[in-house]
Amino acid sequence: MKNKYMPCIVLIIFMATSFILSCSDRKDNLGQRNSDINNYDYKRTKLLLKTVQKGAEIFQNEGLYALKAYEKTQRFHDIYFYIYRKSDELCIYHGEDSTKINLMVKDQIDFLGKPIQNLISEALSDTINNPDAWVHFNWPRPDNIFPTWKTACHRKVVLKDGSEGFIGAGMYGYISEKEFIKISVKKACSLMASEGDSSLEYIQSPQSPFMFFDCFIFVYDFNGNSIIDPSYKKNSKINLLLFRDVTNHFPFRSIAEQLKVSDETWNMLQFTSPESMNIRKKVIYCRKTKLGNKEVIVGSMIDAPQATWFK
Amino acid sequence: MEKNEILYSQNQVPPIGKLIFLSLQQAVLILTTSILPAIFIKEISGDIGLSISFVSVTLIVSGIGSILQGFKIKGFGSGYLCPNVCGPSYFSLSLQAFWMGGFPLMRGMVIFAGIIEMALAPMVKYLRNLFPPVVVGVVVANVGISIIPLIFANFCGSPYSSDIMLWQDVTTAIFTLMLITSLNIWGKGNFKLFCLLIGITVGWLLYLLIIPSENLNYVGLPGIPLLAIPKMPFNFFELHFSWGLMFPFLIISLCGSLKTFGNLVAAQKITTPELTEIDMKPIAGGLWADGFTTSLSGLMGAMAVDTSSGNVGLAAATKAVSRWIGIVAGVMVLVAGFFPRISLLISIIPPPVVGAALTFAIVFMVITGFQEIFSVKLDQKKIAVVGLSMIFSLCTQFVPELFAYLPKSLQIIFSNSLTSSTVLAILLYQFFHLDNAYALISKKVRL
Repeated sequence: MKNKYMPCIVLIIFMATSFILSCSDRKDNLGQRNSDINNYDYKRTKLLLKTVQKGAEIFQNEGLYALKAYEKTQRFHDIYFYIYRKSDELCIYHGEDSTKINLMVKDQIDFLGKPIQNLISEALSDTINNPDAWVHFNWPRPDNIFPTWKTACHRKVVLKDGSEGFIGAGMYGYISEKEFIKISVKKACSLMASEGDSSLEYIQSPQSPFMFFDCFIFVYDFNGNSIIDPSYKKNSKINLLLFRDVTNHFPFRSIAEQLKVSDETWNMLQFTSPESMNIRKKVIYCRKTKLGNKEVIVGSMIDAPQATWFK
Repeated sequence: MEKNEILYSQNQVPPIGKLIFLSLQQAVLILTTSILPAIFIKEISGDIGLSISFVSVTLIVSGIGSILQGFKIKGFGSGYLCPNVCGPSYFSLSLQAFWMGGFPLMRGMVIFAGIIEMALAPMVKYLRNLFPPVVVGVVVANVGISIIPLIFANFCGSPYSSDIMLWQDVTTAIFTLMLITSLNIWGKGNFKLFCLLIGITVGWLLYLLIIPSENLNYVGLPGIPLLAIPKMPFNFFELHFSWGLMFPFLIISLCGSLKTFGNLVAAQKITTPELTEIDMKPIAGGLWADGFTTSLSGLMGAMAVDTSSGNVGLAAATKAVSRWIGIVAGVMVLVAGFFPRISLLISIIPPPVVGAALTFAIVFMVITGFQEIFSVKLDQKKIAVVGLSMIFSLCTQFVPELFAYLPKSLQIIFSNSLTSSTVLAILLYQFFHLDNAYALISKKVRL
């Protein structure tokens, strides 16, 4: 065989290998709820969702041993599963921290005091607003001492003994998924509509699911008076409708105008940061809801996904 | 590069079949890099209809600009194969202008930037002494280096920072790049000539094979009209101007001019390698056409376009440097602007395929720059000019956070390696040759 055909052969082998390796992923992709996955911007989020979905199916159909084998293939992406029994929060399996296995973790809290198991149970039961049961908590990794934000998604499973449990996996770091603030705002709106003013204290509490990363819920009325201030200043007297960002855009005024004709809206807020040459952006999601007999605007903001090449 | 290596020279019209495919190859590269308008619309939370219209209008302007560059009518146009694309130079400022004043302000400022570029064009021929071969080489090399972050973000399929790389993306990018490069090196005849077109096509197919969920992106294609005139949501006669944005747009216009200057010089080097020094006349004509096209993009509400380093690099790779290829490619891109399905396809082209295609094209740009640097005997002064300007310009890529604390007026110069390398190379060259200038002046005074 002449040497000059060698590069062609190598390329053909490379292509064939890629196709074969992708076959298992192709089978999974066809079974996924792709429309839900397309709500997310980051590939790591989509990968985590697919992995947890597949992990739940493997555990349900083939058991823990098969799940452990599957988990080994996901180590490259730093994904570890955990399985808990719902009734007594017994840890059936924990891929990242084996010291937790067979421990009951009913009162487990994170660095900010969030009751993790409660948050997971709440998320799993909120199938309308949070179908993937996202939970954010802040604690150190097993091999570290510094707390880091972990964002995990969950699925319900039925354990070997017939009891209800859940499987989850998470990713570490700040992930600017717009879907997270949407879930948070929708949940806050339902809570405020059902419980009124008494819900506000809980919504502002660091132990609630509404505070994660640097995101929190803010509330203001259509006249621009803040009820929970976006700058987290207590008793702030500023009229939010007059707030102007660095590009002379009035985000809160624009939101109030858009919510007069629709139930939800997205907007942007731009600001300068000493670490960056370019203007940085926050994405804002807002909905209107009833607080007592008053209509208010509920929102949250998160860093806009930043292109790698856009410094 | 020796003259006898060129396949189709500047004024030669290739055979019709080759002309169509060579132009198609150039047009495909223009189309693949036209993803920036789609990203712009995403940044401003625009809908898919606006995205398609915006991309379409930008394609139309790119096409007109590419055609104008190919002609050389009374000092307008360079007469080189140097097509226009929507590049990242104006991206952040255009966004800022949009948020401040919507389309009217963005359009007004882009028109202003184009006018500045047109005003600079006639002065270029007086700046010959500022651009000796070593400075030209540094500029041309950095034209390619400055877009490496954009290329590699696409190569790895990771559009956002803190996102992961998937093996499918990297595999597709490596395969596409290897295929294009192999065809360029070992291919014969049409395989060598159309290496980029073949590579992009096969790479795209591989991507769809190994990530079948991507096929869902094409589901909406039949619902888009086949032929349509793009409609933009603004009053054509409403144009605004902001004194606050004047200085940043002035600087970015200068940077755009420098980039176009570098591209045109590279195109000249590739087209007429026998020239020992730069012929400023076609360069000035090219800058004029580029400034006009930038203003036209503002007028039509498109993203600002300028000359494409990738396409010049592709011409160097394929040795087909006929300006008619650029003109026909411009016509193809202009016509593509009236086909919304093509605009939609552009916004969903796999990023790894774009990254691989651009990587290949930029290689030739960077090497052309280095060849220019080493085409003259390097004395201590020239080594200092090249070395220092390259090192400090690369700093802006490696540690951009160091420059974040500079005053805004200086930040724009150090925002990318092209502007910083050009400014430094010019200043250092003049500084290190002050003794020569002094001797010349003294001689003239004595006379």
